[in-house]
Amino acid sequence: MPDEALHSRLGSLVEGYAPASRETLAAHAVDGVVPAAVVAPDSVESLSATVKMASEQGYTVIPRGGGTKMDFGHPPSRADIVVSLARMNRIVSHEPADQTATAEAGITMAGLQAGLGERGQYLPLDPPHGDAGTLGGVLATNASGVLRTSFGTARDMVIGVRVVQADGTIVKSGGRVVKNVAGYDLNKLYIGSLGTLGILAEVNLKLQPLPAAGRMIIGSMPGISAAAECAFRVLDSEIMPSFLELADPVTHSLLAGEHGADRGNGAGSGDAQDGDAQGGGAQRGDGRRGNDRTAPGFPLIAGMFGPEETVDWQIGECERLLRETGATGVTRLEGDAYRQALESMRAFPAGRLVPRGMQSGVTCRASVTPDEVEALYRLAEERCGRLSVGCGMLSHFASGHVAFVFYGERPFQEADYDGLAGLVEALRTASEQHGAFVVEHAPAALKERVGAWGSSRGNRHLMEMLKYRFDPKGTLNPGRFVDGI
Amino acid sequence: MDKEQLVDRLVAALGRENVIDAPDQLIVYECDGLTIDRNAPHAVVYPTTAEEVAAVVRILHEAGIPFVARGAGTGLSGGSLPPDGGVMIALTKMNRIVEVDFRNQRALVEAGVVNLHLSKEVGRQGYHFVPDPSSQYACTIGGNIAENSGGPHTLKYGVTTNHTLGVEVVLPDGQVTWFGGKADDAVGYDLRGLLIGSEGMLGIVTRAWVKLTRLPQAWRTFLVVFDRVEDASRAVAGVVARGIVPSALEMIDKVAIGAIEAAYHFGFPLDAEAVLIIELEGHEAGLDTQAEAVAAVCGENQARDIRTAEDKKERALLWTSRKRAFGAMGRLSPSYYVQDGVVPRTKIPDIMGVIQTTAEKYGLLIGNVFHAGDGNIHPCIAYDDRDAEQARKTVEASNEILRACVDLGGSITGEHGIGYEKVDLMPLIFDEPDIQAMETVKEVFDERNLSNPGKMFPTNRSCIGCGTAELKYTNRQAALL
Repeated sequence: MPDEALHSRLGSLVEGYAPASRETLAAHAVDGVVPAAVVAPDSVESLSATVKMASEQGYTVIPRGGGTKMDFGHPPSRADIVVSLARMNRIVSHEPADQTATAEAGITMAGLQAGLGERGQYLPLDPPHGDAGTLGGVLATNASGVLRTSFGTARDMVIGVRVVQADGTIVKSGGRVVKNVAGYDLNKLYIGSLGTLGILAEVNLKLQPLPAAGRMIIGSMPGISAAAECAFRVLDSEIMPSFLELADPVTHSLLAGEHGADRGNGAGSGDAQDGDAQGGGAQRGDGRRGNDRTAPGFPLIAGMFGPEETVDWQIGECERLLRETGATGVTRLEGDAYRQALESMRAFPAGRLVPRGMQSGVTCRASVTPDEVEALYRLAEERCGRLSVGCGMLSHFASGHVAFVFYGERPFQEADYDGLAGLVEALRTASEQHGAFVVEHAPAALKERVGAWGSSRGNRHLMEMLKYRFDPKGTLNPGRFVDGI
Repeated sequence: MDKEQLVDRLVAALGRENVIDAPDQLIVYECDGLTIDRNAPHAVVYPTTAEEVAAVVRILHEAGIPFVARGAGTGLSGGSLPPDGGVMIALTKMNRIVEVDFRNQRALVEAGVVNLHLSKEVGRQGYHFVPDPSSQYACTIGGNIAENSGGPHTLKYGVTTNHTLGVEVVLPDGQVTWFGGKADDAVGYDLRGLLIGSEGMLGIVTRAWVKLTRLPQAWRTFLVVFDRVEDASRAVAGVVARGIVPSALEMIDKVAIGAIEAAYHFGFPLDAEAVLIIELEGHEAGLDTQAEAVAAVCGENQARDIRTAEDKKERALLWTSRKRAFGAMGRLSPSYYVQDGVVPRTKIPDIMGVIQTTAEKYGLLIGNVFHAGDGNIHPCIAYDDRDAEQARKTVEASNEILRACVDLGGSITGEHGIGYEKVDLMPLIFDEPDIQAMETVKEVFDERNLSNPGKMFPTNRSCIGCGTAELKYTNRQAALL
């Protein structure tokens, strides 16, 4: 590879560019594929110029935000230039009275929320990796968190984007107003496309006011059936939960450990690099103390936002339903305990929440209908039991979203892959009846065996054609997405 | 294939009773709610299943004949105006609610199901389908999906795309597939999100899984009376600035009040310059606190009177009056032309000023009934369609208002769509590469350009708006009723 020519071209296009060291390049490897250069444009124009050059010269481009999800999908067929959005991290504008903002894609979610919070608003999107993960990365992977129960996903709050296409052309779709049907809704196409159709540069967002109050109630149910049944009763009631989570008992005790322990400031945050193999939180936190706060059982976790009186009424009503459906214990959280519990739930399954001494190696997400969540969890538990693999689960129940973390006493190795592949295939078959099952973080060799994405359900040709027409040379993230796109 | 052969093949596929081609029967299908231009289709077919839609589309694809899908024909942008020499695929016979799954809070419906029928069907169990366009008593869910329709109550809960999980689609070559499905988050590109709002140009929706939403426990519906439009406009921004998200926030100005009152006798104050309909919904606990905050904002902005809907009946009448406002406008002049633009909600005072100035400049009567909460304006221009000069002024005035929307940071359509009406206004908000990206999508889905051609994309890219201005206003605009 003619690296010198590449470095000199990048140097002329991006201010402050310097060839990266061997170590830096290695640190930017994507599933083991080491790039030739890492560059961080500081404006949409310089991003555009970089991509245009790459396209003309036949280099491939790997967009990168906070680097928290670089192992999503498959290894790229080639990785020449990693384009970091880290320098494009400003809130361009925020109009509180319009409840809209425009931000550059490289801003971290934490930075975005802090900036919006200064004026009493926020983006109601709380995916894992919220500290280091960037807005662009979250959109490219369509990541979501507990708030999807009440606010949906990025596709429900992005009102416009500016995108650098594979040939460097800057295009926009949507606009800056909350209601707009002019033109095709290409925002939707870019969100969740893993940067294969264009690089998100700037995003227009629909915001919400910060709620006056927030509280959580946790019912300890006799089993997952009772927990799911109660969840359905909550959904069918006049309660409008802001989130409604089903967690397995071990995961919950770990969550409780994080919020129950008096760890002071910074609990549940801080180690946001891809820490899947670390299991650090559990080691640091005192799980037992949290566990003592609620009776053992299968937890159902409901949260309410809004005006104080409304939140109080709903928490009371929720407690009544929990007790009616057999809760053996009910815990209410507010204030700091509530905030810390929410933060630790948001971090799942980023990897900290595995029991002390365990090593997490694989996280997955399933999308099913709510009434399939219980069976899917039982299937996972049963298959994991046979393999002696630990299984953590957190489900955003109302949307049928289930996040799994699979863990063992040591990092997963080649010898474990047969069993894990069988596990994934079983869960995928069950999920794909109506939905999907995606392997998110996993060793590349395991992803290669089972496929990260699963089935595109008869739409492969359309997706391949869209990719081909938007990126005929295969410049952007080649090979990482579904069906080899 | 000549017309006779075509009709024979359609009849063979669907049966004689599901094909019409007699000129006198086709008149109904010449246009939708936008009557400024008309075009009779060669034939109209009424398939009853997705397979029948696919069979028809395969015939047309093979023969290279363009087609357009149609629901109830209530669209206001000419989205279902038949293409030249084309066939119309009417989905009104596909009107079954196939499955209601209360446990998972979703329903499988055919494209021709009337929007309000679904909400009525699930209402007894305490649910509804949120998107509620003013035409909801007639319009179909398939049409809502094609246009990504809104309505007064989408301020809080979002528009059609936010309530649609998956769509069964007949692609322009006749293949049948699903984008999304019963569960959320399908793998790969979000073809579901791309298709919704694509105005029937990427395929024909035959069935959809849509979300059902629990009806709220309580409502507070207010009619707030103002002596100045500016005060009402400022109250809108003020409510939102307080962190209150009403479920609906509508404005009606003096011209429209007069028309509505004459038609429905709700008791609107005829001397008011503007009224706001503000609806809060949620839990009984805390709702009055929010109501007090809303009242305070209105008071600060010189509201003359705040009336509360006393009961369900009064609330229903208030909303009926609002939703049938355009029909009532028909009393003021032989014709009227409803526009659809968007501004950031803080710019409502500015755009209302522009509308007034424009009305005076052209000597036209313009009434306003609109979704103030999301800045989605609907100026309704009264004119006489027999007067060519007035018709021309109407279009010019309307384009001037839309340009002002764009200058204020807004858009040329919030819920009616580009359709046929606004093709030549697209360059006001999109540059050539933006439009090319959309055309690329169109080519991927519909290589032969058969599915609703002639919509969305500008015909004359060097002259913004000149295509629309040349249209002849010879037909009376059909009232929505």
